[in-house]
Amino acid sequence: MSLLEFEGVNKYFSETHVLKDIDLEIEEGEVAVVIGPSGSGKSTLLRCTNRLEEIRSGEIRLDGVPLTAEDADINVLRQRIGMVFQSFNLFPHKTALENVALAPKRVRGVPAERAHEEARELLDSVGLGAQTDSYPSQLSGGQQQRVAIARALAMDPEIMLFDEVTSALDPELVGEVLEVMRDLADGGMTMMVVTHEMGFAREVADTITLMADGELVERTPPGRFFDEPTTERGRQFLSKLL
Amino acid sequence: MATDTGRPADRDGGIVERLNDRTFRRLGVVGTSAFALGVALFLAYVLLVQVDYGLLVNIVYPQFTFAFLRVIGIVLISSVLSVIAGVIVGLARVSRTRITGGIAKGYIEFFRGTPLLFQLFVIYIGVPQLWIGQFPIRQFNYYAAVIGLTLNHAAYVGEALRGGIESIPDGQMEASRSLGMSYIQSMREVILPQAWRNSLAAIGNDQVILVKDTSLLTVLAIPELLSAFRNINSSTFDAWTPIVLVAVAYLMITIPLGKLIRTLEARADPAAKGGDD
Repeated sequence: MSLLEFEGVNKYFSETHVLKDIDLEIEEGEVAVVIGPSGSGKSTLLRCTNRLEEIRSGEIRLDGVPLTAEDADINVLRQRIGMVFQSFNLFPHKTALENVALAPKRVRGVPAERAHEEARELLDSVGLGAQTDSYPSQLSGGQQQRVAIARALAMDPEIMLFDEVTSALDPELVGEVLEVMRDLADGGMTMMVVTHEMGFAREVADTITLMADGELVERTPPGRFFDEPTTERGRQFLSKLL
Repeated sequence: MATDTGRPADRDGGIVERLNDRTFRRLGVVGTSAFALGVALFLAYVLLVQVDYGLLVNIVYPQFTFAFLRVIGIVLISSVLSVIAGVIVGLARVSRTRITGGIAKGYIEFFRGTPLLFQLFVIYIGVPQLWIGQFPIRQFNYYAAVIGLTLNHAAYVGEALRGGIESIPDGQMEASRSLGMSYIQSMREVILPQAWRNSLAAIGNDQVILVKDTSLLTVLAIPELLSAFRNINSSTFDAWTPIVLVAVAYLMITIPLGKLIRTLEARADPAAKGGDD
């Protein structure tokens, strides 16, 4: 059984069919990079995975548990899925440390002292040990995004979702965020990454999933995808990048 | 032959075009100074000629002091209750549950759409009429006053808070929920602290209006500041002595209240506060 399974997933925005019969399985420890032109539904697929968007039909299962079920305890399931957003979405009224420690304290009931200690370690691991008391407005975009990654990791998730996390960054800040993601991948984290960073996709991904017009077009290992894509749309997408 | 005078072509424009910034600023200084001088002369005339200081000493205590304390008491209770009720109204207003949001909207429409004076009459005169037999609450006018001010201002506070909540980007709630925090936890920890900061000026504004709205309580036979004025005026025919007292009394509440609100606003600014939890 795969860690994350999509089966016949359909999603509409009013009448627009944005996800069409998506079947996808992501194995434990896999780094699955999802690419495709804008509007192809890749971000929506990610957002459906922790129910920030609701699907119309089909099923998404985490470790066999259907998280799209009516009676699924979404607050419990979301703790097992970390999410990092394009626009960071740090809590501006809290310091970096408080941003990371908040959910463990409130959701898990971890005592403040231990939560702060763990938050400090996490911030240290993303290279922000010196910025624990800074507010988001005092940090660069790259630093904010690394805090956001630490915040998601604080809940000890089984899978991490990355939604175009470098798209809002100045070019010179992209590298530090990708570096953190590379470390995570090396550590064996299961990751689903929507990105336009083809270099990262080629080097870090275990699988490349190409989406277009709400459909899952191709799913291949990166070496094969970038050298000889199996589908016509894959070839078209690659030709536009060059 | 050309008759170019070197002047800009808009020389013949209207007054706004001809006014430069420096003249405008000077006009402002002259105008406001003239106004201030007029006010100062008027105040000097009122305080030196019109006010009867013998009478003033007589009415400051007990009549005005008690009216003043009564207003403060009613304001304190109504203010706290209206902010608490306003938070509930605001939360209901942003609810995605249609019936909750609809009821909150109706509540706000009614209490903002009808005069407070009318609402006070509805409570003070209308409600006891619904009772069969003797209405059980004595001194109901005080309860009516607090209920009326609370219900009315809860609508304004609720609407101010709704604005504050809606100004927070959706990503804040999404990030909070994605960590496994419930809607209530997310509201409490993430949305409300930020929304509160954004709404504080509007809520403070409303609370200042609440202070001034206590003047309407004179129709509920509550001896507040305007009642005291009318009392003194009808028994002594002196107008300016009680007028000065009423003005001073209201300003003694509203100016410190304004200061308190600005202090709260400054404290709500995260960059100005330490890293405490």
